[in-house]
Amino acid sequence: MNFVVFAVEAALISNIALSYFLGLSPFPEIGKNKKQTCIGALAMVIVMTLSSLICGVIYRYILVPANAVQAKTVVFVVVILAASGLLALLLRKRTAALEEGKPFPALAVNTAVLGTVLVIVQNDYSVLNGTFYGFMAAVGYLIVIAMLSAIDDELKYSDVPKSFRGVPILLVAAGLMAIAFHGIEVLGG
Amino acid sequence: MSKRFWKGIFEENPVLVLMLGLCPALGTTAAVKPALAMGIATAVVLIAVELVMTLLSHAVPEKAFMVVSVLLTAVLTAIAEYVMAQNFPELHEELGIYLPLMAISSVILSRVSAVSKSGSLAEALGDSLGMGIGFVLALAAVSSVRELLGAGTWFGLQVMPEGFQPVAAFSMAPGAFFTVAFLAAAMNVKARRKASETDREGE
Repeated sequence: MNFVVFAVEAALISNIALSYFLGLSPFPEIGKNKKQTCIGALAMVIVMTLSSLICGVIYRYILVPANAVQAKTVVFVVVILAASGLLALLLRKRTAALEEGKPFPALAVNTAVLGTVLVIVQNDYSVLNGTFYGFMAAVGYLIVIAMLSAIDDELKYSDVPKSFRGVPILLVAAGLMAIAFHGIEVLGG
Repeated sequence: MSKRFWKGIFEENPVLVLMLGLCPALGTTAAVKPALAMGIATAVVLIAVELVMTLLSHAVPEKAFMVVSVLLTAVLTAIAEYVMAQNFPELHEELGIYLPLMAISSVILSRVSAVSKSGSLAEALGDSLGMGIGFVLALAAVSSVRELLGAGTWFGLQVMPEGFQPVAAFSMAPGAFFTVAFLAAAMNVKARRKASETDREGE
């Protein structure tokens, strides 16, 4: 039971996009190509889980014992760069839709991955819990991004006030979604 | 250089126009004090990274440019974290995960990518100063609205009258989204009015 609560908490209640404001950089492009956005978010699941695992291990078993906690930012960034670079290399052969080099910056430089790792460290999760958290957080992110990208696409047909067109109206949508997600807290028991 | 500078503050404000740095703009702006701290820290690192990468623009190969930028930013962020932890521990605590996130700040990396590659120090200086100040101003604006409406205070000092009922939503996530959205829309209104004025002048 606890494990389900943990999962829902990570994915929805404390959704990394709606509660921690992570991974919002794709917003300007989000509705233009729904498929690409979702592929990117799926790739993010892999990178996040991998990074959570590796960074969790490095933090707990190398940085803390060596009293080198200050180095965590640089070390985590290096790990995430490596993980997303690796994934970009593997993906390049399979998906022609992703322009070369584009997923790499989008994944590596996205605050979502580093942010999630930092949350794991901040909450002092065990390596296993931390990795699971990273996975669920990414799943939650994928859900929210998929919804927001669909909303952005639909907004094309709405009469959005001129000043709000583009990202501002999307932020309003995200805000409303944040309010809605507060209701999910009830599942946390 | 001065053109870049002024652009960075209003016309191309990194947060409210270019939509960069949304993460700190939403995450650190529940109150003015942490927002200003975050803004200033980012501005300082932005100036440093943009200038250094411009100087290195000829020495570093094209493909490695962004990776080197990210690593440099990460190192400077770690230094900034240390400085803040030593001198302003409560602020450091309050900023939480958002200060280390400066390492991959879209404000810094996007501007470096846009300007540093050209190799012009004057451009880089103008751009980084303008964008830095613009970023601080944007964060100040968002946090002012959020703190005033969400807690009735400004920079910790009680401002709103006794009878004022703070609107808790502003201190929380939804309020953050709405505040940035409305401020960005306000900037758009200004921009469109200015554009139509210049159109009319041209006739």
